[in-house]
Amino acid sequence: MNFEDKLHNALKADNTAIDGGQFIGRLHAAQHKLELKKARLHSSMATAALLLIFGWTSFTQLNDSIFDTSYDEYYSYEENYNIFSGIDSSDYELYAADMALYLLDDDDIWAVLEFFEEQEYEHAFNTNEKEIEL
Amino acid sequence: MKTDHELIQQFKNGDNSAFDELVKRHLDAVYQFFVRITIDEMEAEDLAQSVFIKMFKSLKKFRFDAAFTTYLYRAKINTANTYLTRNKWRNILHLDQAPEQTYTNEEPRISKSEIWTHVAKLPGKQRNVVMMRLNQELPFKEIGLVLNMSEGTAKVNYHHGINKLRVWLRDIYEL
Repeated sequence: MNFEDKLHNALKADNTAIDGGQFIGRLHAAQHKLELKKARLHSSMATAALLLIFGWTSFTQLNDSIFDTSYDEYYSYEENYNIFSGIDSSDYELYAADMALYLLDDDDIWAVLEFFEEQEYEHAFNTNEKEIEL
Repeated sequence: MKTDHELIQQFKNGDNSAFDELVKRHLDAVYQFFVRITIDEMEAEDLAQSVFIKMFKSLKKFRFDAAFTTYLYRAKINTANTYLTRNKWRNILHLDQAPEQTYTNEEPRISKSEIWTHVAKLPGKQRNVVMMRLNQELPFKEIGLVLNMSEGTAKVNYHHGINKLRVWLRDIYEL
């Protein structure tokens, strides 16, 4: 007996039969089980996707409304911020005049002019367009 | 009696009873294929079931360019390959045990599990050809058709595969 015949002999199976009806019944049950599993997987995926979208939206909303807005609102920084911007112009003129008078008490006109220059008190120079008549 | 292709067309049109008819028609061939590979009949039935579940899923896309049996053979081969690979660790453990000693004048009979353990170790094409030839005793022309190769290539692969099996089994059974 050659090698291949020995292999064939070893693999020769008893003619075992299988019940077709029972097999199909079990096949249907297995298919049903697989479909249930698939449906469950789909619903879990959909839930996970919903949760993810909801979570992301909530996070971005929180981010916009609390952190960013409040920071901008309370900690904003302007480079050319004028300390007198919030003060009424008449108040400012009063302040400038008082300060000028105070400095004039020391008889130092240059200090007064320097003060005006520091304050960029344009009103004092520019509005006085009329030339002094000699 | 309806042909396989007619039944598939019927199944594609939504008639699931046509699929049951296909199962009844080919069940025995599929089951016997796996009985020769597995030790346990229950395991053979499970593998047959997984082949038909695969068929159920993929037949909707069947293109009618080949016979249904060719399609079925490929599914059987793929399932058998998965089974043999999955059980490799078990087969390796089994290899560690020496074959039972027989004290008769008869030649020692090669065990089925021993054969499939070694078939699983063959390279892909050789394994598939040897599996089909040993299991179903199919002509090389048909094996080539199922595995998309020429008759000559199938013969060469079988020759190499069988030679390797002979060498591996010689050490165990003193062939």
